[in-house]
Amino acid sequence: MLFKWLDKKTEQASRKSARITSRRSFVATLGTAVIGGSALPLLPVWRSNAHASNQSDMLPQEVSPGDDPGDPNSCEYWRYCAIDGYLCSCCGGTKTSCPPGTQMSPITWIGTCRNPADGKDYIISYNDCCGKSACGRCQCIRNENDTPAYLPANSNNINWCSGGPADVVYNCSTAIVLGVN
Amino acid sequence: MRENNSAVILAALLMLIGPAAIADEQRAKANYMLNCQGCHTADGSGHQGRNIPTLKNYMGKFLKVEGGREFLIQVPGAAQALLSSEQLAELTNWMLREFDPKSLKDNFIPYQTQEVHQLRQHKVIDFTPVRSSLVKKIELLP
Repeated sequence: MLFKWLDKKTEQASRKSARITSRRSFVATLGTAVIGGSALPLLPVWRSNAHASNQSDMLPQEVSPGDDPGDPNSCEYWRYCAIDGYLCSCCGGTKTSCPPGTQMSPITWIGTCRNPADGKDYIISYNDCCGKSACGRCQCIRNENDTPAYLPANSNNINWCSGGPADVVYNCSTAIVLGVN
Repeated sequence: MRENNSAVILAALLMLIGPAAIADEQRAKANYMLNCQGCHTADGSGHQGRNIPTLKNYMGKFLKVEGGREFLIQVPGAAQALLSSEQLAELTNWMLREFDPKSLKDNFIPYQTQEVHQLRQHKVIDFTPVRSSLVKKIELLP
């Protein structure tokens, strides 16, 4: 009884499909699926996890310093007090993010700058952006509290891009607030 | 009256202890950021590509092998940090609790200022082989 019903339904379905579709249409659909499937990864989607290792956990997160006076495109901006390099905010990025086509070095040097808005010392992480040749705009050399190279943890004369995911080529520097000292 | 007094004393003690403990933790955290985080990264995972060892779920294992307790203070990044021995002891204790609480379960004795001061006097000239022999011992741990 059940099998008879199944047979009937299958026969009806295949006859119907034979009537309304051509064999070429199957080939056309298959072709679309194959080509479309292979083209999908080429679409401009966010692929931050495409690296061998996921770096986002290791990169510093900006903590809001409250009032944040000044111009991020100027060397005089308070959080650039110990910077030595090109400002990412002049190079297609921002004070806390890298320009397109570069990668942030997870290894960096960290110092403090006084925020004129509240007179407090904030901890600043100067992460370099790497992988494209030097930006060349807004060069700032302030070096306050910078230590000599034999105290490398606090030295800004080191190329912090070296050995990172985008390796040696230095493009520009960010200044990310980590907290209050 | 007597009860009132003890309540006042208790409240005063709490006010003394409470903020002090928090201030120390904040100082330790700030000292970590300023002296360690640039290389060891915010969550202590370090950077394999540049041979920067991980602290996360690992640092406390040094306390379980002979010579490891000394090493955590004598390693150049710690011994030569621009910190007083008091703050280095506080920072190391904070790091152990923050990055590797699992390894500390069985009776952890926090570093004291005096101990850290004495350990820092002894310079380890070539620390790479010292570290690798400790890591070998750690790998043999049950």
